[in-house]
Amino acid sequence: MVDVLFFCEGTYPYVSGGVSSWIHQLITGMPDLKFGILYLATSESEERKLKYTLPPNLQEMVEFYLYDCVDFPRTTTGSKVRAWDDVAPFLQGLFRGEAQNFDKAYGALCGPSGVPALSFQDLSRSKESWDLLVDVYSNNYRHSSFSDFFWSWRYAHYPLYKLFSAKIPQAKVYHAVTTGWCGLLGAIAARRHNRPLLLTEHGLYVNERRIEISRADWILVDAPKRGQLEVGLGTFKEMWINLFLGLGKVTYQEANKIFTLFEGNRRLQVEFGAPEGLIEIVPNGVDIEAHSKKDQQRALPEVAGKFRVGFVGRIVPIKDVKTLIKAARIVAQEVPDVEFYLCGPADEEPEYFAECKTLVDALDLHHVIKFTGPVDVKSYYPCFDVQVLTSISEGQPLVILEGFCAGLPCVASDVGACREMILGRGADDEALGPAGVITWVGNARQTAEGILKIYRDRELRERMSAAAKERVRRYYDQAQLLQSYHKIYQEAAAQRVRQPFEVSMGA
Amino acid sequence: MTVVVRSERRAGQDEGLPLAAVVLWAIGALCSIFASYLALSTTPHSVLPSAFPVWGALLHLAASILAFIGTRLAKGNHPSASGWAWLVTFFAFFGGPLGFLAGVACYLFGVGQPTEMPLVDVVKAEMFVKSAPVQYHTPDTKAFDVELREELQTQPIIDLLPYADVATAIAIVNKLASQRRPDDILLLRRVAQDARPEVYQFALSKLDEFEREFATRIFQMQEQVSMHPEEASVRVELAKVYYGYVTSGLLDDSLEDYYWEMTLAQLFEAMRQEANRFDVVVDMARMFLLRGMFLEAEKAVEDVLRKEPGNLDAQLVLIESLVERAQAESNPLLIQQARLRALESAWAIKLPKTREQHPLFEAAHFWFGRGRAGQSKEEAKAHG
Repeated sequence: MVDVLFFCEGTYPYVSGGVSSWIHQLITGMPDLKFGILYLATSESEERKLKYTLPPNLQEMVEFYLYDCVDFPRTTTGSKVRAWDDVAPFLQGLFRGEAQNFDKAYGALCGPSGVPALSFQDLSRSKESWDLLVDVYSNNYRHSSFSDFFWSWRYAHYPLYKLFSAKIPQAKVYHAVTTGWCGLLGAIAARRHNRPLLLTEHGLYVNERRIEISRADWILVDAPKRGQLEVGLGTFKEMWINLFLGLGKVTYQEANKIFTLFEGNRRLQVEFGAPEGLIEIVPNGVDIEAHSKKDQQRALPEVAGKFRVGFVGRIVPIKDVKTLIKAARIVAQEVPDVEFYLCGPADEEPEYFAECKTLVDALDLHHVIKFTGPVDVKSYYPCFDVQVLTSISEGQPLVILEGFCAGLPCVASDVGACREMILGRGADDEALGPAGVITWVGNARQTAEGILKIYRDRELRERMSAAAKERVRRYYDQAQLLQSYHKIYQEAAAQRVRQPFEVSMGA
Repeated sequence: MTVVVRSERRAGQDEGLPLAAVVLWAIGALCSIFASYLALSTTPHSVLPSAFPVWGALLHLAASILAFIGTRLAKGNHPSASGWAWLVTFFAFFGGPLGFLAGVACYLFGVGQPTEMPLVDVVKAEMFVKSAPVQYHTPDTKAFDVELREELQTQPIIDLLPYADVATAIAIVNKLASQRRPDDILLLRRVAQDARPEVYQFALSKLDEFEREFATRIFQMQEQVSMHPEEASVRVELAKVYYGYVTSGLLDDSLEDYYWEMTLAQLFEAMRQEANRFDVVVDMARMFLLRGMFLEAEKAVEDVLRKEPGNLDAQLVLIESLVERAQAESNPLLIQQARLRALESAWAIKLPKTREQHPLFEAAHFWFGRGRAGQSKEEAKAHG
């Protein structure tokens, strides 16, 4: 039995990024604990490649496919009528963004002895399931197409039923890194094995899904009537958003402790239904020594008069690389000897990468912008004069902290924890001074002005550099992060009964 | 050691053909063939019980049983195992050796066919159907009416924006994106500065959509230019795309300047390549005019008019520029000058005898009202 089992979806170990790096950091930083991963994917046929070397103390890895066909157990026990009475309000509630009756639904769908009262066949093909579907349709969606509703309902419920019958390895502590499907699986695991469930959210899953769904073009939206402002996202988009909101509430209800990275996220979690008393802030941390070695090898030779701007991250739409490229055009008009290095993998969204390259061509920036691909960023940080991050959504980006270790000021968009990382959180932190410039999202001019401000004023650059180094040393040390989570895991593992618990974090 | 396992057993999967099944089928097939041989080698018309091919019948029965067991083994615990086993046995029993082989062949062809379509594929298919563009019928409306309605819709949006909740703000973004005029795009850029992530991300995604369209068109035209560098008309087309981008409202000031320079660079190159193409110069002048660069526009068309005094497009741009400049500089003398130019031009052009007016006449009429410029020769005579 492992000590900690992580529930991951679209992250570690197959996708690189902030959350994945954080999980890797925790596993490698606590060699005395045994870890496991339960990875949720859409289908087994999805292509996946390991992005990390798996550490030796990662002892178990299980994959779960949300939409693949499986053999569901057919045996049931107990009264089906009573079970339907328990399950129906839960399912109806989920589509209103509520999480009522989860305990009863769990009882009916998992059963005290592991045998459910309702089988998959009951849930998907019985008269009762049809009646429930028709009932929900008639009460809420009668103005939309029944066929669309039927498929949306099925598509949403299939993974839900699958998760209730999932085989989940035993662990002393379960740790979900998002709400949604992962969180639900965590809640089921915690109930089934009577072990505590921890939840750490970097970005808020509910929020991210909401944004993704509102932008999705695969969900049918009714045509707007001429001359009218159609308020709302459309029936089916709202239905999906409510489902994820409901799943989020289930996870929040079932978690014994909730963690997040910064104050803004904490407020949103409360807004989405998390009990305020359970939330604790544990900021990200970075290995300061590894990123601030004086004898660190440089990837680029030192050239007098050259001004180098670095971007570290994946070349994906959420990083809004196009705004950075446009800002590069503005900067290049004033600073002839400027170079932009975009360090990070570009294979995740090849189409977007191609668009970025087209934009570089269109703006005649071949000599200014260089895509390095995946590189050892530690050797690049010392070569940069300023780091830029133009993301439209972030949690608490590790790349800013890594840059801070090397004394790099940062021009970042005002998302996630960027503001408090750059300008400081609380009086003591703010007294250190700004470690960069905050700009508005998607604003190439402001980004360029931020870079130019740092370029023009050498003294300011040095002050920002000193503030960056001091801030990361005081507040974002990896040792503090590992210490905090080690303590959390120990206290959670020591619990005999699943209940909320207090963790004294210390400094 | 890290072990990767799947957490569930997949349905509808055939896990290879077990050797035991193949062996059983082979023995069964031999039994069936031999049974046929025994049956066929008995005396045809004998009715004695001793003539009945007992061994043949037994072997035939054994072959059928082996067909059943073989198929059952091949299918394992798949839900369809029993069904397949009975089917192959039926063939083997009633069809003899040929039936046996046909049954097994039928089974082998059927292997791998999903018993149930995976839900994800069904939904994808459903979504594919949905993603086809839907044509909505819009009743014919007079252009003026539509224009008025759009204007009436935009102002409330501007008023509503600061107080809009998320759903309303997203609806506003949708509305602006569907109208897509430069003013709407500027407003969309304003919404992209909203503090709420759902709103600004949605607005940014719409802006990105439009930018992608321009980027694709620019890329395509650049490719065309690189393939036909000596063709002025391709450069003019590229310049027009650049210009469209400049005036789209999507660009920041500095990028607007950059693309404007690119526009001019392409036009100058086109003019260098074909010095006699006055339409290119007039196009350029029109772009100058739309950007408020009146003097440059006038200079460009004056050059054209010097070489080709009857160039109607150049005359129109010149008059338009003079009128616009008069308004911009509050200089009535320029209006007078425009009027003179219009009249000069009108006289320079032979008016058709029909009542259908010349475009220049329309323009003069529009700016100066029904005066001397608005009179045809016949009307002028009638007035004495």
